[in-house]
Amino acid sequence: MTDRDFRDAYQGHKDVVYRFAYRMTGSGVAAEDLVQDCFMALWRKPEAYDPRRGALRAFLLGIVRNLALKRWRAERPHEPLDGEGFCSPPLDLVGQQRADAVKQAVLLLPPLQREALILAEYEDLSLDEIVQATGAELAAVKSRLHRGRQNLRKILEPLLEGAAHGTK
Amino acid sequence: MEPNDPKLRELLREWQTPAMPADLDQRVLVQRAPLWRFFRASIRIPVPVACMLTFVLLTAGWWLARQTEPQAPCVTAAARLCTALPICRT
Repeated sequence: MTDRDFRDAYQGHKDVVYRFAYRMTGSGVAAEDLVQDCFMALWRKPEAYDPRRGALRAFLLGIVRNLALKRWRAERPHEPLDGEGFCSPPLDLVGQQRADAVKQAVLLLPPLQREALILAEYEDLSLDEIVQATGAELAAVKSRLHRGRQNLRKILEPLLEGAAHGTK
Repeated sequence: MEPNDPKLRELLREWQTPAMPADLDQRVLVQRAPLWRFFRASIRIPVPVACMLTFVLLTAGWWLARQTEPQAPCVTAAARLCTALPICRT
């Protein structure tokens, strides 16, 4: 990989990688570290990317995903990544901004549901691209997305009901 | 996918991420320089090897220090006896 190729890849994908890292960790500092580590991994081992297997964007998101999960696992060694039985009560929204409540709700999701949801809802990745980025089976991605949305509906119930009644 | 949930999608979109800090560009692009990578490089050494290396280095240092110490003058036993016993004259 030449310097020019690397700069092009960085300029073309840095924002999506940063947004994803930020939403996975909920922290600007952690997101910066993940972006840096992600592009360093590409620079050190460019042969790991095979264009025949998909777009560079999905490849980079896959690296960030692995780094974020590694970090998460180091911080919470006993919590399951998938959290099939995950259940959270609706948020207490007193004194909370809507955006903060959404952030809190997304960060409450188990990591595997969160990553699928962020890639689908915020980055508009197709199911195939999510499969490529996460390395999971299509059925698993669909299931995580479904459960992630279900959980979010429960957690954000007060806000969704407010929207249905035309209140903000 | 469940594309027909516009309410949830709309609500989710209210959470915007901050812009990426400008100095991150510099961090990523500068970090690739060979000199920077050299100074940030690290190697992993197994603990027993590290212990043995430390022991060898300390032993070598001690041995070298001993070699360079100034030699004590050679004093014969008689001379030592002379200096040790007071001379009494009557």
